Amino acid sequence: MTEDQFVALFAEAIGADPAMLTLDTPLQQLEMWDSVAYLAVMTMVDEQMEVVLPPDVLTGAKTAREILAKARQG
Amino acid sequence: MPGSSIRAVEYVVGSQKLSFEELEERFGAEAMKKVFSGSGIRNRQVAPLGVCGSDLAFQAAECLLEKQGTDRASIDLLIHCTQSPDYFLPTTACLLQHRLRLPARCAAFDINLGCTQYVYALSVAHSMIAAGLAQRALVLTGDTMTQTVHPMDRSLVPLMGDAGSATLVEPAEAGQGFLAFELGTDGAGSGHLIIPAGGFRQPISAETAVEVTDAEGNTRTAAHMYMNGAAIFYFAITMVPKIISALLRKLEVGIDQVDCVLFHQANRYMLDYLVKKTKLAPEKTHFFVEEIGNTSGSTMPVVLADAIRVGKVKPGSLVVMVVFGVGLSWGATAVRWTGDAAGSAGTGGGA
Repeated sequence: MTEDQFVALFAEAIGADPAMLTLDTPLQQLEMWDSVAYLAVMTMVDEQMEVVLPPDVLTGAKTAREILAKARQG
Repeated sequence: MPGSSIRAVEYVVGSQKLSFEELEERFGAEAMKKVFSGSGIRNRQVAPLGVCGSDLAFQAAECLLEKQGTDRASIDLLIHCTQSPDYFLPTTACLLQHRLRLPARCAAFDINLGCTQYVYALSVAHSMIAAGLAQRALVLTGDTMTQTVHPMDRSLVPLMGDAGSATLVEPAEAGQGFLAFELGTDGAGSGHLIIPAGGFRQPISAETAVEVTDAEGNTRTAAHMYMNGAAIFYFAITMVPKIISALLRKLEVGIDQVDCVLFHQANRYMLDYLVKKTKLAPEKTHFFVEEIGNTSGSTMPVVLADAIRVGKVKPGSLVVMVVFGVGLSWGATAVRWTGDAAGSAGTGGGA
């Protein structure tokens, strides 16, 4: 999965405007980055990359780039 | 070893509807839209203050005994499952034995588990019947967990409902009724779903009554239920497929040979994902959560009764029931259904 594809899927999962989101957007600045968004990203990553990310990866991530890196590590 | 099977199931739900519109007023339309999309629960049935889980269990039991024409004197085992007991002591099962006019020779005890209580109680009833310790068991569930949730906790109020159930378990021929159980525990996750205060570890005090509002705007005290939703979701989607696989290995069957898989009705979003993840044909499961909420340990007997009602579970069906949650705890059982096709379906009642 490319970085652009990941950003698009990430934005769709959390209900963000993909044009306003990059891999390095600080997640804490996003109003929609909450517990419901954690579940949406967890399922998106599982479906797309067959990796179930532990919740602390999501709650502790500062950017989508960090989440993608963890997902790629498996 | 003789087997056992479920003869009939009945349930009642809390009498008060806590509607989507009421919660829109409490939490805001945008917040509830998001919660609904993430849970699939539109309305909830809750018990009013003063009604205990045992009241719901009692009503369900009375309904079952009457419909089945069961001789109360023949019941020699009562298992009541709850995490919202009437008292610290005596155990609520003793009160129910008296209230239901069951004989003095009836063994009665509670099982203190949450979401997994039903399968655990069935495993105990099955084992005691198989061991010759009981002939006819009444398994009751009853909780009013909505009363443990702070009214301004948006992470829990929209999810929870109240219900009670009654299940009659009787001896069965080998190969009929319960075929296998799979049980397990991960106490390392106990903090993910907990009421921290009110027991002996942290008694109620002025300190535990202090309200705290988290980053997402959920308010609670230490005496209210807390749930780490992401951690529970992670636990469910990683553990449930393994539980089902382990159970099916014991039976030496594939999931395509199972007629119906019923899941603990946590929320619709999670259930849809579990169906997808376990590669289960959607028509081989059943949902009953959207209009009553997550009724904790009663969700399984409630969804089972409704699956019977709609004909997804019928005599001869191979049924798998999978439960998971607070503890963390999990359980599953496979049943070759022998219960009545008609007459065993529960209907919601008042309390």
